[in-house]
Amino acid sequence: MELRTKKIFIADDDEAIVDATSMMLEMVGYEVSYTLNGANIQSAISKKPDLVLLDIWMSGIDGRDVCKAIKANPQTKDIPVLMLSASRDIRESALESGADDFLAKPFDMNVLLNKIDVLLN
Amino acid sequence: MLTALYTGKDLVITMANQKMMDFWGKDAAIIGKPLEQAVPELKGQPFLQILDAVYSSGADYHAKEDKTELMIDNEISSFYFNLTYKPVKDAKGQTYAIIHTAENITELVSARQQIADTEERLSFSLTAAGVGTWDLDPINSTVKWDMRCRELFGFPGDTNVAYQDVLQCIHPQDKERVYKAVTKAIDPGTEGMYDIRYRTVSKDERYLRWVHCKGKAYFNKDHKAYRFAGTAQDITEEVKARLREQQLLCLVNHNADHMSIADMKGNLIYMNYASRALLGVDPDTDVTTLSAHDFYTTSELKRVQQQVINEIDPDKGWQGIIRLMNRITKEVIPCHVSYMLIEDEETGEVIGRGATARDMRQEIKAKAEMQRLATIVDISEDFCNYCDIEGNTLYINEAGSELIGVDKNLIAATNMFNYHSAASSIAIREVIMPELLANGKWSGTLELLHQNTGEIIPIHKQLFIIREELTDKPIAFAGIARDLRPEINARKAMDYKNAQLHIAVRELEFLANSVPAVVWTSKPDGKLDFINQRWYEKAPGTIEDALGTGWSSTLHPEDEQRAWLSWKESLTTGRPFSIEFRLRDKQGNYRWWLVQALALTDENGCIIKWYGTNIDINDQKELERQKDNFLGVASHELKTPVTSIKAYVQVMEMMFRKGGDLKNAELLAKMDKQVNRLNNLIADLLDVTKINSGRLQFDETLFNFNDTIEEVIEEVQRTSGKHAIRKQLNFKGEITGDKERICQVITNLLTNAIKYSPDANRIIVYTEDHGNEVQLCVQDFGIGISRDLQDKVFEQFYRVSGTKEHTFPGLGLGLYISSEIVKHLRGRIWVNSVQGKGSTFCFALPIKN
Repeated sequence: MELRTKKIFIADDDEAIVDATSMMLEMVGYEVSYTLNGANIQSAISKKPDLVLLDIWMSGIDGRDVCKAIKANPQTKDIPVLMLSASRDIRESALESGADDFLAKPFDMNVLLNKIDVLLN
Repeated sequence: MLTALYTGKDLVITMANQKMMDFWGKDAAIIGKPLEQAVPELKGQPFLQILDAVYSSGADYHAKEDKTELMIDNEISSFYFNLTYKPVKDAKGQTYAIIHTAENITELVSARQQIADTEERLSFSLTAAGVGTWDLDPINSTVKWDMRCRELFGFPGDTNVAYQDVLQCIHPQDKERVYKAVTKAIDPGTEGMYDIRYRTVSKDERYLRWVHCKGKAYFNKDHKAYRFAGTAQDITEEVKARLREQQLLCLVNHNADHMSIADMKGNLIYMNYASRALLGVDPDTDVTTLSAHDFYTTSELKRVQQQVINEIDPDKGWQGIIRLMNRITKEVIPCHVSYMLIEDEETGEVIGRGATARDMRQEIKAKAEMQRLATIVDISEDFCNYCDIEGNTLYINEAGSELIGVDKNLIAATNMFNYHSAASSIAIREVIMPELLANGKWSGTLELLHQNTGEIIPIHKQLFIIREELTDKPIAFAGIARDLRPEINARKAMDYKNAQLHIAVRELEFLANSVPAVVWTSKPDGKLDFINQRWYEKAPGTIEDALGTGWSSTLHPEDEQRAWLSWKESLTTGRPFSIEFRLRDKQGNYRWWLVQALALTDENGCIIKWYGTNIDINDQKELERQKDNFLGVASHELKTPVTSIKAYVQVMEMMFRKGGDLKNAELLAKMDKQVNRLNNLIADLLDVTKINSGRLQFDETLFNFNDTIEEVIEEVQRTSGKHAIRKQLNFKGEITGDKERICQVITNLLTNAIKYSPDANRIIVYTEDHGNEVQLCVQDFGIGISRDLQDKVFEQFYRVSGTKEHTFPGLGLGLYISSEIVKHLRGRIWVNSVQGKGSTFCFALPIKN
């Protein structure tokens, strides 16, 4: 695997997923930041990560609304957003909210890494 | 001058000049002979006596126009003379000879006689013709006219009549016309002709005559009319005759019957207006240019010419039916025709034939209608009778005689009171007959009496009075009656059925109010006419508020349009009505209802009523929403730990590989596969749950089919090293559908192929282009499926067992889910299989949705 120095921000309310994904991403060289609380997303994104992994259902917060806000903000609209969800039926609405790509859970890490690679490059 | 000398008493002819001898027809041989001897024809005539008397008396004898008959050329002829017998005397005065001189005025007399005869004949003729003569002297204004003329103008025979007197006799209305005619006639610039008809009135005004005066004026060298003469004829009778003729002609012309006259060859001489109209002859057409033959059909003409004409009796004529023909329209017109022969008054010779004809069409039509009416009455199922004013039955039809149980031939002259009940008979006498006579008709109920059984038969009767056409006197009445027994019985049956129906309705209402759902009915126009008590339990307002279209006031505004559109469509088409919408309840909250209705139709397919139910599905909807939520939550909750496990497993695998611990890395790789398997099982379960609740969602995109197949093959190939997946992709194009779900189907078929061919080493995937659909098949060479089980493989939870009796892994949901996906995408899925040899699973999808 190639060494990546990009920053990836993960927004997911499941600690285990965040933990495992962070470990995988760091192992391949990404710098990872995350939030388990949907409320901190805006401030974290304002630091302009290179990519956002955004869960849809996050304890009272709908990731699609967050995605819309990211894309509506001129400061953050160019940050690629990869949305994640346990329901693949939600793919269409996820993309409609402005997400650059969608990945259903549970996902294969290789698939995730490929998608991130595509979005960052 | 004829001269002869007779001497002596014997009258010896002493001398006779040649003229005398020529007259006598004698020659000189008579000289010296006595007259009587010489001219023996004189015997018997008075001349000899006269001569003798002259000889004796010595007196002269003169005679004018004395007639003598003499034998000339062996014929006795008459002659006229002015003759003189003059005696010749001697000195003593004794007669010794007679000189006979005669002037033959035979021609003169004859001419005069002829003139007299002519005048006499003329007078006779004029008298016979009623013609008088007049002779006017225009210069002196005097008139000479004969007796006849005097009579015509009303003057006695011996009156002297001046011209002015004549003018007084002219009818005042004709005076001016006469004056003009006379003035014109005596005008020297004209030819002098005079011809006029005018009326005269006798002085005593007792006689009015028509005279026809004709005459001519004669002009002298000074161009003045000196004589104006002519005739006057009494044409009074002629005028009267002409007037009568005109009246008769008018009568004939305008007669409603066809009248015509033709000669014996059939050539028309006259047709009246009715005849022209009937037979298509224009009023201005000269009928003499037409032949009677124009007005017959060929066959009828033959009959008339060969039979009818010969049957015309000279005195009685001929009468019968002839089919005439309108020459324009060619319509055949049956007519009652009378032919009569026309004879010359003088010679009695038949000179033509006259015909009158009466158009029988109306009569025939009326007769036919009468016949039809009579037939209808006779076969009518209603009682029909006809009685005289006393009530004696003159006619009764079959139905009538049957009703009262008497042969109709025997009922003739039976009084109608005999077959009416006592009560009805009284009513007829005291109430009905007076009303009938007053109003001409009556209708109401009566009772007949069956003559055999004595049964009282209720009837509804209509009576009509019949009146004599000319006097309007009532002479009979006709009746038509309907047996009321079937009606009464039917009414009783109806009442019984109504009572039963009423009970049934009440039971139905009770049932309707007992069921837990809202039950309603509506008229074909959609307006509710019944709604059960259940409505009232939840809806605001009363049941009456809901009837008609009142219920719609509780509709949710968002559902109103959809509800009305769907309801109207069902009302129009008759198709079952089924829809879910929200209605407001008593608390003002909206609840979901499943409203369904079916139409009840009659035998012609016309809707007579709608029967509907409203089922409260609000709780069910809430449950579904909760289930949806749960499905979403369950999906999320189940997949979240699986995601974490998978992520950790992959991280650990990576760490072991990086550290060179391939053995542990392999173990973790295997763990990862199991996590995938678990994930698939969870996904299948969730899909089945969604399918069963109708919540399986589909996307629709246009994608390259071959690319998708190759992605799936690549993915599945990674999981099975043993089976080589070969592909023959004959379809090259794009299809529209849910790419993810189609991938799911292909994956399912491939994984099944691998699973159920453990002893085989290949799997073939091929596609075919069928024009409007693409077919994909996955062929394996595994255990196959027996024929009787092939349909079951797509059922939920069904799993196939192998011949080695080992149970293959899996929930048995894959094919069921694949089948549901394909069906939803409007495709087909099937299997061809031979047990022990392998199976080919195929599905076909439309290329364009």
